[in-house]
Amino acid sequence: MTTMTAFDTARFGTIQFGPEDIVTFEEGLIGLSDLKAFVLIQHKEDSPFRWLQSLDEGNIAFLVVDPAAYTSNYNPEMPESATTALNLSEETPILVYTVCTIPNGNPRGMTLNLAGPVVINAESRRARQVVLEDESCPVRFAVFDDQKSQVA
Amino acid sequence: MRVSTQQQFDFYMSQIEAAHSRYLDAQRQVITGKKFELASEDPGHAHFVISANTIKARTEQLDRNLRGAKDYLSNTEASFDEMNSMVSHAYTLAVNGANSTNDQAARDAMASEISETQRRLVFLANTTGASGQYVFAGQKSDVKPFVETPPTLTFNGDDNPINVEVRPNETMRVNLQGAGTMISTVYATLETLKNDLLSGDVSKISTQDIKAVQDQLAQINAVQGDTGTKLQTVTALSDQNLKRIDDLTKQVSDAQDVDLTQAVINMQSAQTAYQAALQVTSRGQSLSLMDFLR
Repeated sequence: MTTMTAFDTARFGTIQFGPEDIVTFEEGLIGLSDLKAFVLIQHKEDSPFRWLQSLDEGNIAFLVVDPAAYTSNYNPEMPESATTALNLSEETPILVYTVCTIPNGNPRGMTLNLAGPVVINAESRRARQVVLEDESCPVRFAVFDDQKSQVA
Repeated sequence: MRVSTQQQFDFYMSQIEAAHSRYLDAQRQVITGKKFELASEDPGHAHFVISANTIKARTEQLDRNLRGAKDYLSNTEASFDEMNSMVSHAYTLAVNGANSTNDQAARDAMASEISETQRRLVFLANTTGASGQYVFAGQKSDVKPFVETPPTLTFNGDDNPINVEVRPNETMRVNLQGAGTMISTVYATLETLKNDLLSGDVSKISTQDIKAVQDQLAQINAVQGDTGTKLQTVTALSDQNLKRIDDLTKQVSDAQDVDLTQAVINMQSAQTAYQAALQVTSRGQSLSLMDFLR
């Protein structure tokens, strides 16, 4: 029987999770190296959005989304350091999420960070936030066409 | 049971004092807008308010830190966005310069453009933040870090980190690591390209310079990705902190602040009760010996 652990979060109240739900970032997130354990929480049923909720700091959660929901040809080449660290091979099931930024009061201004995707080895639940050197992957990819010209 | 005059007096006085105290308390709540002033008046709520205010002050401090981090990161990002455009243009010039169909006059013009790019690069390398600090100078942030004496660029800063506490007990480096070396290398790469354009060394441009410029572009892209991702994280943390500060402010207000309408009603009731206690006492105390002789 799986042992469930309770954890208090600012956004979701008390959540319950099992060991198999934990996604481990051994190096933390970029800029937040102490945050290593997270769970993915579905935003709403059938939504492509997830919350990457920290298990080290209940107040911190990042909104992420499967980039395939908004971009048709996002298939970046992973740096070798990432494939080695996550032990990825051709057969490894991988989850890729991009962190979203939604400006206050302007949901149509939503951008995705295509330059710093979160890559998860779905088998081992080990993950890494990877910085791509690919010029075609911007830090602020405007999701909605009418906002593209307003994003630097 | 016989009630003595002294007992009666004491009773009246205690009732007046209690009514007066309630009236003053109600008055104080209307005037200050607070349910209590001293922790002893409501220990349970007072403890919560003190804790919440402490957390709020800490969160506000973190938010100020995050604003400082944003200043560094956004200036770094903006500078590197422009450097990317400039070096991309230099790459285009290098490819054109490697084309042997171009004559030397065309290559000289390209070299002149590269010179302009170097001037602009030095300007960006000395970018300052909101407090006038040099963003790429490390901890020597009050010293202009890059001084150009063609054909060399001298770095006078250091590579020490500017660490900002972005959440309790965790710091983030917000200045670019290796900025001095990196920007100097971009400058030197452009210098080499310029000289090879001026000397018409097409072979060296095509075999070495184009690759060197490409490498610098890749480095710049990596800095943009890393800085932009950090900036996104800082922005998300800041948004979450602001929401937390709002929540704490509301919770403190709920625990500490009075409902003013209700407080005024309470004050009027307390006032009426106090006046009634005074009237009853004055009637009771107005009895004289004549009342008993009738």
